[in-house]
Amino acid sequence: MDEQSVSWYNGPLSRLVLQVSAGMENAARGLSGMLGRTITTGTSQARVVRFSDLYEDIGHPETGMVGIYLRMEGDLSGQAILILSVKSALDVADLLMEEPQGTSTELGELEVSALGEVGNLTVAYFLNAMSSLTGRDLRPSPPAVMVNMLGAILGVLATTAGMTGDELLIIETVIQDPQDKLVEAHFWVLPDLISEFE
Amino acid sequence: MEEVNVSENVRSVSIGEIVTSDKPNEVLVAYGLGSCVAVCLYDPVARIGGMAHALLPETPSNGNKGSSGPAKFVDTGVPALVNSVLKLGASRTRLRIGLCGGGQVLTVPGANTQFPIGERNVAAAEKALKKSGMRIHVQDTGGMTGRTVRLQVVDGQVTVKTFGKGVQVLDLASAKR
Repeated sequence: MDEQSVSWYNGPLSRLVLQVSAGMENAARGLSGMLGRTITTGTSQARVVRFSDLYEDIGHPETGMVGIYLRMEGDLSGQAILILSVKSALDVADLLMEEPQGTSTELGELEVSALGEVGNLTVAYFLNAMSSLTGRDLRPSPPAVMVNMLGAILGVLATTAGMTGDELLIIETVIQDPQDKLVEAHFWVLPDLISEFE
Repeated sequence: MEEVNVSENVRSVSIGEIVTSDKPNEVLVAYGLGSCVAVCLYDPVARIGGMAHALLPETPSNGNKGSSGPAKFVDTGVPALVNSVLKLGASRTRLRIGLCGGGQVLTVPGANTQFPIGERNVAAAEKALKKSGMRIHVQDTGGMTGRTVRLQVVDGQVTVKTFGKGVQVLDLASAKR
């Protein structure tokens, strides 16, 4: 890594990761209240990946998964996505609708709508905390819930990032409920331009 | 469970990549295409196949093709794919063409105007193939669900697995010119 990259990693990016981390802790508090159980976050980590390595750590690109996607708009712009397995998405839908685990067996209109609300709330709590830390106006777009092959879901991120570059900057935080592990999701934040966060 | 041929060698074609082959045991696969397109070329006599997995329709006006592979953009990826299979020994006049992908994966509720990148990728591929003097023989494009596209080098068979909808076979080798 050259000197410029090192100073960039230690400067603007490390600040951004700390802000994302604080934002996600707030999102976890919001989710805990919404789902009626303790939700915790892992350490937020930044990585730069090429398009061909986008699926690593998540799953096979052909696997059916769920992505709850929003655009972040306002003073800072970027993409945010919650990625979870179909099983975890069904469990989250049951928690949200206060149904016994295993009640939801497919992701129909009701379940998808509930998952959209999870995305709304997660990103709203996240952006509120980020706004407080940065003093900037940040707003989420309406959520889009995608139930599709993982490759198709993550292709949306690649398409947007591909218009301006050849790599994606991903700040990842894993959120889960430590008790039953019913909820396990990867939350990714992808700033459009890192310079906007400096 | 899917039948697996033990001698089959799967070569994954990632975003922006072009992969060509003249080895009968090889299968070229683009996994989980959403709005991306997979362009498949096949010469049934020489048994040479090639696949490009393209992300975006057009190379920016500044000409910057980027560093994510020769097929990041459809308009420059298609001629690059044609050149690659010709270099391997395929005949331009025998080439059969398949075009798959280009779905509309992202739909935002309440938004009337969407950015139809999948449609634009398909249109760009049709235009680029026409410009190269070729017509499309088999096609499975559009829709809202992801696809995995496989091209068997041994016989030019293209199989498309569509998320939640099963598998269909497109016979590229015996498609009429």
